Amino acid sequence: MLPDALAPETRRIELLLNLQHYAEAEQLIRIALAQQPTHAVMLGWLGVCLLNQHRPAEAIPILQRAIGHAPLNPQLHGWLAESYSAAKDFFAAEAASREALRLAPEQADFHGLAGMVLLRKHRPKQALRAARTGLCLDPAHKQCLTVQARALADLGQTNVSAPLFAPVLVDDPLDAFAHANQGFNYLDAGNFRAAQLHLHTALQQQPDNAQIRAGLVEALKNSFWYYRLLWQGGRWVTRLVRRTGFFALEADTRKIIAYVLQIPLLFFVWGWAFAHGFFSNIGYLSIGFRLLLLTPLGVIIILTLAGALLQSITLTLLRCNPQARPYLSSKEILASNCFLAGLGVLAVSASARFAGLLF
Amino acid sequence: MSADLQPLLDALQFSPDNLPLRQHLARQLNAAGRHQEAETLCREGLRQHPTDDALRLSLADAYFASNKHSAAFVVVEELLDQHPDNAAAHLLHARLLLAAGQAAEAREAYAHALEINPGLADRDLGQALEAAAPAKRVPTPAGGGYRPAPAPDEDEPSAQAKLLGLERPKINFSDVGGMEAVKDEIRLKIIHPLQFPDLYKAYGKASGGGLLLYGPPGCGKTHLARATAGEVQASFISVGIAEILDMWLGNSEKNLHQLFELARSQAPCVLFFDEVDALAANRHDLRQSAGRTVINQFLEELDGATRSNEGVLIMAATNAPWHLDPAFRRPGRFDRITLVTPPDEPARAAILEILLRGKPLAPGVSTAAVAARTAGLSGADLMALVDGAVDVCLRASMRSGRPLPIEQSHLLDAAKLVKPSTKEWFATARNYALYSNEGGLYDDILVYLGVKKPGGA
Ligand SMILES: Nc1ncnc2c1ncn2[C@@H]1O[C@H](COP(=O)(O)OP(=O)(O)O)[C@@H](O)[C@H]1O
Ligand SMILES: [Mg+2]
Repeated sequence: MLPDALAPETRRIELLLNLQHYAEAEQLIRIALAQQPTHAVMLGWLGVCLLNQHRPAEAIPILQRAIGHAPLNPQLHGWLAESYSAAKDFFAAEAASREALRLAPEQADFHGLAGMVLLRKHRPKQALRAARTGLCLDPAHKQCLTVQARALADLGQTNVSAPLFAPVLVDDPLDAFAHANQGFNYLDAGNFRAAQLHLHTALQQQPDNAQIRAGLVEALKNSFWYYRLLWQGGRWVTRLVRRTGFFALEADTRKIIAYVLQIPLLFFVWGWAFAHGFFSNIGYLSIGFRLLLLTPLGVIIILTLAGALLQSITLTLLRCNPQARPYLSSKEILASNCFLAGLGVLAVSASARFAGLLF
Repeated sequence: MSADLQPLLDALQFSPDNLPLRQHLARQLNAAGRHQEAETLCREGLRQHPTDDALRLSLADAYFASNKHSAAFVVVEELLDQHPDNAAAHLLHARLLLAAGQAAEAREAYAHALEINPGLADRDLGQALEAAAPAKRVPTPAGGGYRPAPAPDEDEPSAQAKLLGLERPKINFSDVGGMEAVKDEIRLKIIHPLQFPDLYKAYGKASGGGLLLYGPPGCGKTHLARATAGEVQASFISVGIAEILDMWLGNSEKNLHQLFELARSQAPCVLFFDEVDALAANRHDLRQSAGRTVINQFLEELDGATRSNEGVLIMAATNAPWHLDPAFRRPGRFDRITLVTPPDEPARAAILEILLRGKPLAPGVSTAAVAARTAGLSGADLMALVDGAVDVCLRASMRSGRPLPIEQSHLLDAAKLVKPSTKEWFATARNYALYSNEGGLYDDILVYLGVKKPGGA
């Protein structure tokens, strides 16, 4: 426990954390730590401050130090899991959330946390199990409800999860969390108009939530008929890939596999370039290029490229719509810009050819 | 000199519990410029004696000398909180404030130190303070309206009032570089209603209600509020995050009612709540229900102040206006709201001018040129820039064995290393302005970011 001299300081820090004044809390915590460098709770709070200031990489070693001093404190493991998750190291995050659960299996918070991590590791079945265990402990636990809904959607059981959030909305008709989840459910179920409405309401309550914004953009894109086809196809492929277990691999392994898979794409592009005489006029390479198109890999590559093209076309169309434009992120605007630039280059080269024909 | 300390250091190794020896050594190490060692020594000692004043003072000295100003501030302020009669702490506080560019406060702290212990007089510091904040008379505002208060030196606030944070700022708008648009808004929204209440009444405009300054951290909100008080020659009561926390924790004699009463009795007075989102947090967001009493009390006082607000300007500042309970934006409360953007070019030049004051400068140094190359940097970022330049310059001086002045190139090189800290704030602010902009509350943000045309739809 804390010595008396620190106790009022501790209450201040707690309050600052509560008020989300993380920078000020961090200052006070560092002072307190200068006097008591091994204070586990202080170290844990420092981790929380760093995590909430978007510095998970700094939070991780601090939390590990805290755990070194108080290995049986489940909350510290929970925060560590959140930090790993924010740093996109889902394997470590899962291990940490397991440890938290082992120490405090009665806390719905940790089941929700574990479920969230499992979802991000693309393990919807396990995530669903974690969420349901949490909901047995606390039937109204928001994170568990969210995990349950998203997991069901990932498993393709969208109709089941749709009404799950209605009770929350009865209590508080503006609850951002319920609207967001309701919106995602409608999105999964293919009811894009309703998804737009709910996600829009949710975003008004939580403007800084990137996930809700991305969901809303997805719903808006789906107002184009061709995009709906693309989207269904994309979801189908995702499910297929999930079944291969690819997503469950460690991030580094995934990167290597994705990298290896890109090599044929490189050949493809080169082949294409040769075939069109970009490097020289050696025509026979185009035979290899045509053969490549017939392989399943060639088909996947073509579809991927076509998908990327359609994505940027859709983003460009949305951009022209003043109602939709504010919801696009800078990355999405960039994608649209690239498309427009490509279009410009094509137009210039086409007109150059046309001019060449004339004169 | 430093060699003489070795026997004492050895002795401390043998008896680490000898507190007087440790205190003495910490002072000696600081005096010998061995601040890192002094810091370690103090921190070790504070582990056993967390409230020992001498060690804390030496620790703050060491922090200050090794440029860890914010840490030094916290230690000194905590010390002064518990022992407001510690003259040496006031002296160090004065140095810290001066280094932070808060010359007026530094003067006050220095005066306070001398009041308690005249033996602490320091000629260099006194001169630096005189240069930084000459005790000047502020010109009276043009036109009739409010009778200006008696000049500051004629009635110094009572000890009780001082304890509640009452001061008479000696800075005014001329000490705020650039930012003309914001100054104009402050004049229009709050100074003129104070100075010409009859005119405003004749046009049916209510003159009550407060002004909320919001914007990214380190861009001069607090500075502006203080300057506003100086501009109208009003008293100034500043309620910062530390006082607000005290209110929450219920262990403060500075309760809200007392503060408002003091402001009314001192009219004309600017009552300023810094980081007001901590006091006016969205009741929805708070897990603690204890906070509701504080919030409700604040609302009550604001409404009460509206009825008897003759001469009280209520101002507040926040980095997170979206955390404010909407109840605070109702008419008669904080119904005027102003975005304080990162400093423009003249403001940056003025800030640099203040930051470089008293430091050895090469003849070629031009703050205007540095200001032109530092678009987007906040006041706090500029502080980091100057710190960086000083570091480089110090290192060069060590190498050459003689003190070298700060060159323009030092400043420009340091400028390349400082990243604008306001980017993240604007990313968040943009989202609020785009998706949760009820009644055009955050239109200023969109205009600043170029998403929206000024005045247009
Ligand atoms: N326009 C300006 N002119 C002079 N100094 C400024 C100006 N803007 C900011 N500063 C200085 O920058 C520092 C940070 O300003 P501060 O008022 O504390 O920012 P905020 O309250 O917005 O976080 C202060 O030391 C202040 O004196
Ligand atoms: Mg401030």
